[in-house]
Amino acid sequence: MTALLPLMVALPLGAAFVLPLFPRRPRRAGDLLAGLISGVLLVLAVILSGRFGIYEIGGWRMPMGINLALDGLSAPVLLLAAAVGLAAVLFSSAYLDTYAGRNRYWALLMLMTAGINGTILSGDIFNRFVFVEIAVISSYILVGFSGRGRALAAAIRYGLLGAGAANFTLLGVAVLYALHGTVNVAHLAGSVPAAGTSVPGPEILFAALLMVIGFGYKSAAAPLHVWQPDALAAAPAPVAAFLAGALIPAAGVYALARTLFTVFGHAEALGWMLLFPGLLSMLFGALTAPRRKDPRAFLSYQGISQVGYVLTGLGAAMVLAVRGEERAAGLAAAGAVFHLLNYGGAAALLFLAGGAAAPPGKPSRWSRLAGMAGAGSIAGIPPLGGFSSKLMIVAALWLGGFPLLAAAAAVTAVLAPVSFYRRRDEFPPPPAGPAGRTPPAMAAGLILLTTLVLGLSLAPLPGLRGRLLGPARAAVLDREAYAAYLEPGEEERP
Amino acid sequence: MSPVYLLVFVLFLVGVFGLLTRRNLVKLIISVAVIEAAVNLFLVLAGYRREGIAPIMTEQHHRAEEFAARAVDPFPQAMVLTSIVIGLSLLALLVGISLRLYHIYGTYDLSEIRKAAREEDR
Amino acid sequence: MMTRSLIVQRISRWLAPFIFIYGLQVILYGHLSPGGGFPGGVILASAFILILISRGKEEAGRRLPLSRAGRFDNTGALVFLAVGLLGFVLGGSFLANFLQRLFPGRPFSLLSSGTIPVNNLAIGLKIWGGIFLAVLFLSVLRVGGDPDRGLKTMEEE
Repeated sequence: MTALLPLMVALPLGAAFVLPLFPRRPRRAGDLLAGLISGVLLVLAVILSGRFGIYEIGGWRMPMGINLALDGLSAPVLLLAAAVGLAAVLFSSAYLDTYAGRNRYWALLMLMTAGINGTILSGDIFNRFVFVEIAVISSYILVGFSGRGRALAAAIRYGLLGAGAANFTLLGVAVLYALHGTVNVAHLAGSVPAAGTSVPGPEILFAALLMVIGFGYKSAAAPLHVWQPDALAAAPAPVAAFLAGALIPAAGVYALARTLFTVFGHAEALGWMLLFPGLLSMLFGALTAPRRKDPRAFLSYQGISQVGYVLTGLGAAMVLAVRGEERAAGLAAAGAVFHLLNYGGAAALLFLAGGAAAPPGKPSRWSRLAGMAGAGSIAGIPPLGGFSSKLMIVAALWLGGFPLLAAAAAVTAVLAPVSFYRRRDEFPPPPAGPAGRTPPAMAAGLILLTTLVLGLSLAPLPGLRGRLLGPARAAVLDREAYAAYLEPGEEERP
Repeated sequence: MSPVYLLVFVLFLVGVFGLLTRRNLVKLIISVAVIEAAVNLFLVLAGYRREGIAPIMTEQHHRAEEFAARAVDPFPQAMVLTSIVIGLSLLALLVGISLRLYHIYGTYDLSEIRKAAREEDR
Repeated sequence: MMTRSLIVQRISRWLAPFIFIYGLQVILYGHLSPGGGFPGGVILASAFILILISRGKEEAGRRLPLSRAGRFDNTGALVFLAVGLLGFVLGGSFLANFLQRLFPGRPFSLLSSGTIPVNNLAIGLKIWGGIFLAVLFLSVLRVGGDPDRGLKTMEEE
């Protein structure tokens, strides 16, 4: 089944280059092709979920060739990206009438999809960097797609700082290559830190810091969040949903987690590199959000707070794993991955609901339903997924011996529903898109994501826990399992 | 650790300093280009070998082992080429957006552009 | 519009074809010597950029219209992807070198190394179109006025 992996990147890439060849006619061909490809990608992601393995491109054996890898951490993120992608495409087909250059839009969206899928699947750190750049460069254009001054100003700020941050990542890759002579993740997992030592040396910590800065920017973690509120407010609604629901979780948080946990391994210093920005974003986002008037800016800061929870959970998992507290570490890791999925689905849903067409002055039925599900999950209202994942992270912090951090996370978790409740009239946010009845494609996109958000709430149930959260926890914490992917090519190690 | 690496790092920091302190879009774009040049230099240096030969097999090299023992590492050069392509597309994009912003606001000053954009929003 | 010196115009007219041929050579010998699709494509594009700088964007746009450059760009990428997918179907793995058996890797012979020259040609075509497009677009933006209108009038010419 892993033979299907390259299609996750090749299909959207092909669509991105076919579309501009037919600039005008037939008019709806772009919509059909983009919808078809995204649908196929979602089906593929569902088929691939729960299967693990690697794919060696061109038949070149690891660690020499380029490879794609699927494991318990990448499979759920791939599924999230595919679901958010299909919803955004469905939504765009009805939303786009307000913009010129339809096929250019579809081409960029498909290019971004290819970049995101490649980021998730890539088995070496250099190609991950390249795929992140493919996704992010398309997102710069999409943020400024309306061509209005405000959107372009947001896009250039995002792009300039993003270009700087990208070079931090590349420098980190270069340092790792200079030290270990490989960029293959499995190969690095077996050789960093240098054999015989358990504590990483200063050069490894330096490389890790570069990676944290590079990917932390993409995940909009607190000191590096500056681009996110502007970009999400200025982008077209489906692009904002795609950014918040797929790009930030995949090219930011997932890439960061994969690099730190699998490439660098477990060390307390690395854990604090995640915990510090995590706690900062969690508190800063939650405290700043209520002071923002624009509902989209409010949502953006709430999103920063959620990313903070994920990073806090990941950092705690690493620190606790080093200290040998297996149970608490496992709970933190599972909670962090689960919260990442909840955040991605719910944030995308809320941004889409904000752009849904509605009768003038009041939100439509569909967007009200979607807004309730999304806001409920992000705010952490009990039966929904966001509540369970926040509870897991708080419990892990408490069990692991961080009572202060647990209290801070718990207080922030209680604050979120309060600040959402005080602005209940804005959720679902007032429509920013064209007025009128909600077109069926828009409603379909909203329903798809609502199903995802509600479905995720069932994941902690005993029967389902082992299918999603168990493999994710194992993939985050078990570095040796990833290094074992290399075994068929063992004799080729230098 | 050779002093060359230190120089590369200084160049990197010069670029980062420019990116964080300048306001003019053209200078910001130049800062990005400086950072990129520093990282590319570092990558090439990572594959450098004293008195190495170009990693191109010609008819003079009969034995692969002998060739591999003397040639510089070609892999970082491939990475540099990729990173240059990315940098090129990014640079073209950033210049394009800046020109368009200049067309709208008549200035390259990012803080003035943001102020004007915010007022336009009200 | 500024006036351009006759010497520059004349010399660039003579130089451009040679630059173009050099670019083709770099692409065609990419699997044997330094070079390949990317540098070759850039050289091809630079022949047209020389025309753009020395004789104006109207003349360059006549030599290589915007729409055709865009088609080069996309076709190149698609050919590369098609080679990859053919490898998936015929060679058992994405981007597998399925032509290797037909053109085995004999060193220093032009017809060798399977799909690599095909990929080089595809990349060369893409970069040629892409780089020229980027520079042409920026030169249209620079002149001011409405960029969309500027491009539209160029396409109509």
